[in-house]
Amino acid sequence: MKAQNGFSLVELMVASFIGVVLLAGVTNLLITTNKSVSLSDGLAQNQETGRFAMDYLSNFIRKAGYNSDFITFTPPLLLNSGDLACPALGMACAANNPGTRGDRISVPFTIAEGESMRSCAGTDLVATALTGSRRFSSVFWVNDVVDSVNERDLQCGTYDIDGGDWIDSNVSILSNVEAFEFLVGLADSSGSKSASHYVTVDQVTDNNLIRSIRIAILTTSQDQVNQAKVQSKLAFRKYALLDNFYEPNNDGQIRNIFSNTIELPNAIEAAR
Amino acid sequence: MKNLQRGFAMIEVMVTAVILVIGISGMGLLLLKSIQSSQDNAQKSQGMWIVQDLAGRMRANSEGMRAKAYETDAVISCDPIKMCSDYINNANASQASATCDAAEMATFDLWVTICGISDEISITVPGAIGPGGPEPDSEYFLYDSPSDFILNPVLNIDCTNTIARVSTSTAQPDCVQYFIGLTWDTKLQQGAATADDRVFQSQYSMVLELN
Repeated sequence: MKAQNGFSLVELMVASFIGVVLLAGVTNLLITTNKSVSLSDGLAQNQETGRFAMDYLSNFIRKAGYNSDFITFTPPLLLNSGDLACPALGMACAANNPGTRGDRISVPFTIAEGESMRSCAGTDLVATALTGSRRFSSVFWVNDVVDSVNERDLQCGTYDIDGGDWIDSNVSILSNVEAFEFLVGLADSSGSKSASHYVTVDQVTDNNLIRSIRIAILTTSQDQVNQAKVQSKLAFRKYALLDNFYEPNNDGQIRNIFSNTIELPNAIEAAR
Repeated sequence: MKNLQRGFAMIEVMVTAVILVIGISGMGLLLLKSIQSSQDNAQKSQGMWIVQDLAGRMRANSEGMRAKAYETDAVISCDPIKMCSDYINNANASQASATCDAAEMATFDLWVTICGISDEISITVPGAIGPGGPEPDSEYFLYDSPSDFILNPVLNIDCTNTIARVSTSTAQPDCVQYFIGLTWDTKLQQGAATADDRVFQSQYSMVLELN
């Protein structure tokens, strides 16, 4: 019978040592890959949310005060006072920090007879011969109901001012918006076309003076990023959004601020 | 029966290991690059919105725009300035805003675009005095503007076209076209010799017209 020759102890030791070194390298690589994927994801999520939100909001806010007959003035913001008093239903009015996730904006527009426009969620808004011209308002806010499915959703509703009813209400447009804030650019006098200072909406008393709106959102990544390893400073970040301060929980999410200033062509044109 | 089995020679194993290590480190480099590009992308998008925001501010202050008040002749200084807007200063209540004329508004617009409300991101909170002497200072990072997410933003704005009409208090021909350029520092180049050589610059620019 043949004598069996196994590995010698030295051979085994050397082989397992090399194996361990290689395994350690591969494991390290896997961990790094994992971290970098979650970081890239976090960055991309913020970017997507920010770009869409800014595009969407800017589009609707730019239409503020739209009125094709050029005779009657439609104010660019639905306030509690002024030319177009806000309806009894408070949810349709613009407000400064009504909840914990920032402001609610409400931009009215008028549809003339026979015209058609879209609501914030895409419903057709038509003014027929029966109703004459009709006034609507697009309302945007961030849902602040803690632990609800829609928490941190940018939501919208379209309010039918003349009909006194909601066309769309509480429609979630996109998620991962931590907060929404806006400031109103006011002119010195009703004849001036230029904004001379920016204030929170509760300080606006005359909606003939509104010239521009500055919006800002704080976006957040959906997935948690391992802040201890990837970015050690992530845990100590605080955010100031226009006129408000946000101190998120130390949850390891990447956040980003986006802002845009929208000049209101309809309001500027009406300034005479 | 003779044993004909032969294992790998030590040298073969070593060479394999070295090749593997080179391959793995190449993949690591790839990862680094991919993180850098996604960060670059995020910053580009951020830069675009910063310029858009400024363009909106300029259009909302048409008088300052016609008066060439938005031209940047030098690097914008981040010293405190007349505030033409409500703002929040370091977790304190928001401050009342002052009414500004067209030129002041333009200066403020440029300032807030580049500096945010507080130029410093890192903020040190002095430690409270405890029973055993003062406690250590704590630090946090305050992000108050999109420009805080990019490194060393520099604005370069020029009036590129004027028309004969004179409609502002400066008694100069009205400016009707601006070039807005925003540059910022971006990813680090690994191989460069000095620290200065390692910095790339990224740019976003647009041409803004009005009548």
